Amino acid sequence: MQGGKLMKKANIMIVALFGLFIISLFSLYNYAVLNITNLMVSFIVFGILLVLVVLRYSPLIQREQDERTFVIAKAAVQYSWVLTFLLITTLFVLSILGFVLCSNQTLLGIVLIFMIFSYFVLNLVFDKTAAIRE
Amino acid sequence: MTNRIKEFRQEIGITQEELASCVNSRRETIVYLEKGKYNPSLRLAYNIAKRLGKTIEDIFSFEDENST
Repeated sequence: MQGGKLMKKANIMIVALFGLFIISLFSLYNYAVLNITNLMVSFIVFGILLVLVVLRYSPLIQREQDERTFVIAKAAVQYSWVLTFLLITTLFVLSILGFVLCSNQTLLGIVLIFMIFSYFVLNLVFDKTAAIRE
Repeated sequence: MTNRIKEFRQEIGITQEELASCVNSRRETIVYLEKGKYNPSLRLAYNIAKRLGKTIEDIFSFEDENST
């Protein structure tokens, strides 16, 4: 019963993903930017999302069931987001004051790397220190 | 919140690892529960109580910090 429900969810997700993929191709075509690079990017994104859906809903893969692991992961994501927002605000203020001058690409890189890195560090810290009491 | 998981677990002679596998959890979770450093969800509390053959009230006791 549980497996059937999961498969139904997985099928819905895959159909939705495919729909989004088709919509993205049409939008690319309409804006006349349907070149090979954009097409490749669309395929790669679609492929990554498809793999994630299969990994998430596959009944063959034993998933983590420990609730404390989920609680810690959830808390780590929340704290990571807050810290990233603080970083963005700080960088914004510093750039307005003229202390920091960096390109959009560098800024995006800093933010993304900080977000992922802080998530893993916080996950580790919460796991070891038992700081989260749900 | 205090609990008597360790006491009841030792009474029936099972290890933390065995209790953890019975309630679909990790040993670390049982360790933190026994130390009182983690408060379980109602589902986990129910599963632990069921495995130990006790009621939730027998195992967990809530002390109101505001009560005088």
